[in-house]
Amino acid sequence: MSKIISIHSYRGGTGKTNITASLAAIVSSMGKRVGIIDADVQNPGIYVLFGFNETTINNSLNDYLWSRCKIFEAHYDVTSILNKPTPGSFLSLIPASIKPAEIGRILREGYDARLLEMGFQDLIEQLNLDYLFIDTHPGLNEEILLSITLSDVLVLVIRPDRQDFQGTAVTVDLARKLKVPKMLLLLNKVIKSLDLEDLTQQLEKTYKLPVAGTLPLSEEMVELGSRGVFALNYPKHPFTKLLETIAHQIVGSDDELN
Amino acid sequence: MTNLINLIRDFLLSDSQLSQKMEPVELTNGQVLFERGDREANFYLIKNGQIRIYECDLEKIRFAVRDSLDTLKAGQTLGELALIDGQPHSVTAVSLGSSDLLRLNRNDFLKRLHNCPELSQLLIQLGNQRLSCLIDYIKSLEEWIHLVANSQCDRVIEDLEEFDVRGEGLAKSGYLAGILATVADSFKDIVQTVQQLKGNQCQLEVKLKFNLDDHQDRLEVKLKFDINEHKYKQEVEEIVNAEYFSYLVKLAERRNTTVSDTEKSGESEDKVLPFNKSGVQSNSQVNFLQNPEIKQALIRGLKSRSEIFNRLILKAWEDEKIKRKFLANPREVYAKEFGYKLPDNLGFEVLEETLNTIKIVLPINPFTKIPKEELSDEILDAIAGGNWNVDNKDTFRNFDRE
Repeated sequence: MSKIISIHSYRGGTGKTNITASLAAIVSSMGKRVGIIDADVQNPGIYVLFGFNETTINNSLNDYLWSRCKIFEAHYDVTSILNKPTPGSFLSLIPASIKPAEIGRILREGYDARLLEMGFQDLIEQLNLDYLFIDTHPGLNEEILLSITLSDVLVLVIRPDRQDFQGTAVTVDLARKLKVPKMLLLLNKVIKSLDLEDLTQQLEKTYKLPVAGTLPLSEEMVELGSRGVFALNYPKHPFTKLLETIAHQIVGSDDELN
Repeated sequence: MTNLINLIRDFLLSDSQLSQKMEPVELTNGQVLFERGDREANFYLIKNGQIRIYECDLEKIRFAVRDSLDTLKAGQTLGELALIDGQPHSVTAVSLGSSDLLRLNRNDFLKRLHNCPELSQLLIQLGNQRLSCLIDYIKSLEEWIHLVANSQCDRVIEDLEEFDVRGEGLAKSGYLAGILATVADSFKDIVQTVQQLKGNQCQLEVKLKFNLDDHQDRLEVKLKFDINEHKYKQEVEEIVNAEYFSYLVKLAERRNTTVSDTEKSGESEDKVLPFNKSGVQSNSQVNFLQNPEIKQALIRGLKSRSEIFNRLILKAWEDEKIKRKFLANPREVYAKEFGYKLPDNLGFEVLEETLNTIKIVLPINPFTKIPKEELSDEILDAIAGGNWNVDNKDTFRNFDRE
């Protein structure tokens, strides 16, 4: 059975997009059919990591939302980016438009959140996906909550920051009300001197959720500077190893992966 | 404001009646002319020597705690405001070296004021200016209070830091500027307290941990955080009360039911989504009107259908001939009016209401299972006024989004 995985953070700059791209790449490398939707239409970004630019994106999620094309007509097969694909590996990206005029239109007019819902389902069916990763816009609005509602797994990325903690409490509470089956916390950009054990305990106690991993503030990530998918560029980096364990937790209940 | 004060001072120095009233004052080095808070409201002109001005009490000056604010020289004046307002001095004045001054006391000033319209007018103008400055200040206060109420404490503190009472047109209004500055400071304290109460407290506890293994000192930071429960519950409440949230809850319920049913039965992996073809078809008659989008599409379809027919109705009302023709041969009128010939095998009946009978036409329920082999798509379109289709999924996609 296919699963929808939303990666969300209450505020921007948590590393959500980089984590989404890496997790999707890791899961597809396991021989899974994986799709990524850039649902951050107000501030699209994940396309850069897969080497797209304005000239190489033709149809986008926006075209689908404006009924200009079917959702699968906006998908781009990026399987070739994987270092070690296994039989069955498939990775696809549905980028959001990066044309300023189209971003402007989305900001101005918004879009019908419920079209997203149909789009997710159609895409899963048409591309025969095992996993659909949703890179959401930070914050909480109708579209984001719809993505959360449709998710089988919700990954919440937070930084050790007061505002992140407070906002995540809101998201967690709403996700519980929306009966999201599985939620994971991911603490990112952790500085070396931080007492992690103490912080993890606090987080788990406050949100009553497991902390799937704590990712250090990575110099290499900064160095890579959005020029690629981290897990593919630094396959042996401890950060990637951590992401791999998180990927296993996300898809964890599926026996076939073990 | 400064200009008006200057005008008043110029008047004091040039007025012949007042110059007769001025008394000489001689000071030795370090002698105090007046102290902050002194109530003797005199005006002084420095003839020779220098006077140092301090913005504090005498005691602090003696212990050299504060530097002087200014040093006034021969030709300069002091005490205008004390003279005008009769309020205590806001600064302390001390002679630097020996100095000679001329003093005008407040009683003589007031006497002159009573018989000099020019001076009176200057004072009235000064009063008006101060009043308008005060009104502006009150407006700022009101704005800050509003911001605090809206949890925008940071902006208020920024404003307050930029806000300088002395630069706000109340310059040189001595005690008044002092009072307003105090109010601004107190307000800042209030805002900071409110901010602390509102924001959740995040304390950094830094401790040095001695690591016995490598004999190195390591700095370890403990991050303590508390969630402001009231605030986050309020936010959750707002979202939960939003119109769309109830739809999401229903969607979540449906989704979870589907997941668990599928798990139990091990059947189809499809989730039932409101717009999923299979989902609607299986239980369409019960559910479709609960879906706001579909309902909306149906309402639009009905509306455009009635708009089309209303055109014909109006034509018939306008012209008795057309009405008769419409009743007798509606196909022809329809074709003429819309430039579209209805299929031959599609019946078309027009009924006229009478004074004692209302007739309502019930269109075909779009969710009724229609044997497609019996009716062509063309006929179906025509029935629906050409605006919606029996397949509600297409309906949803096709309907015009403005």
